[in-house]
Amino acid sequence: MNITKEARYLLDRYMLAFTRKIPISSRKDIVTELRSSIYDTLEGSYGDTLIEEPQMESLLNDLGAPGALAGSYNQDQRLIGSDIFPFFRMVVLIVWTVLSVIALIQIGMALTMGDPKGILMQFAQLFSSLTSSLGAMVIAFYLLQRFGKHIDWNKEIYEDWTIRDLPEIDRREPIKRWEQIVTICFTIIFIAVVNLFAHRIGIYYSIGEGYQFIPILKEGFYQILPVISVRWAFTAVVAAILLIHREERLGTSIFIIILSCVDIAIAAVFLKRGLDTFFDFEVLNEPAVEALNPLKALTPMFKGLVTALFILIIALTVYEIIKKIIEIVKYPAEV
Amino acid sequence: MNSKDSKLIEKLMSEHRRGSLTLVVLTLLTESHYGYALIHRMQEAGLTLSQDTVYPLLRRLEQQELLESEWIVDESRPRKYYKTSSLGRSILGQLQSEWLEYTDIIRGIIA
Repeated sequence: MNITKEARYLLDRYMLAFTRKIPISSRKDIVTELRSSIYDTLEGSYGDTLIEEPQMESLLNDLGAPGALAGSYNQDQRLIGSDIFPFFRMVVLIVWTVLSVIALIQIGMALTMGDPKGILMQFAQLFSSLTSSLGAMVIAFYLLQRFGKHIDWNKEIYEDWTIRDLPEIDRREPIKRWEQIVTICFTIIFIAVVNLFAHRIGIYYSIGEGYQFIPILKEGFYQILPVISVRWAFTAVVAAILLIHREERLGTSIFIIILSCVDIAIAAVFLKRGLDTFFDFEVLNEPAVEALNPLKALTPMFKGLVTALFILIIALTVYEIIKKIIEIVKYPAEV
Repeated sequence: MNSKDSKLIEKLMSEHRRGSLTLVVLTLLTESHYGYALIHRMQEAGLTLSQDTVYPLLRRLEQQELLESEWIVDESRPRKYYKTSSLGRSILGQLQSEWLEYTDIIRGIIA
């Protein structure tokens, strides 16, 4: 059976919209079966003729709104009816994601500060907040369903649906093999250099014929270094996974989000403990280093810049987490 | 008849069909079929059903272990074949006789 590029694209858009509404656990099975069935139907209706956009559009219109079709697979929910269930699931997803990200940052901070009691407390609080928020949402949606009977929840996904509403296909760049190899190599080099030569990072200046050295990193940095190293080792692990799969699967995306939360936690620990705990800014005021004299006045500004850099890292990481979550929801893996 | 009435009738008919569909599917799947072929087979018998009715039902019956399935990937495309399981077959006879008895009663009432 031959299908034009345009017709196939239309089908892919339909499948994407359908996939978003299907439970992850049975997604692969349901989606493969539906796609296979669509091809069978096309073959049954049009034989060996070339399938063009109008034929595909007609078949997809017969199938109905992707949301409605997906809803027919989700009829087991009783407390929250299938009409309202997609909205309920969306709200639960948003609330739970926000709670989990906050908890992961707090757990990361407790981990970085070597506070095992704090880690356990955060896990307990996460469990408690997830269950209590779910309970509250179930009650809210139950009441909404009970007293909002006049609302036609499915109007949009059943009646107002047209084929032109289908979402666009993911246009993200495919995973490049060389990028992952470079990431793995540089990450390993970075970890090795920082761990083996951290004590050599500082300011070198000459006195007479010899060199003097003032370290920049303080004891606090060496305490947090194992956590940073493990965190960076996981970057290499992610790159290796991407290299093997050549695509970003759901598990990998979630893993990247968790790593981003750890990044925020580490940056937050730097700011909370104070940058002076980790870096020796007073090195710039070292009287022996004459070459630094012009920079002495800039010491407070330099410290401010480093603080701003950490705040920027946190802000950018939060942005990346939000972007990643939107990608997961917008472009779910079909298989 | 206005559209509200026809919607109601459609809904009632759909509920009515849903009850009997399990029996139809379990009976037809004593021979192995994939979804599209099953829909086609039902169509030949005069029962026109859409994919959004049949596929979710197949999944439900499979979860209840009344059907067993197998993916066959050596055809032109991967296809999931369903067959009534031994549990399904063991209750099918009883379902069929209950159904015949039930339709006799209903026929007696509405005649």
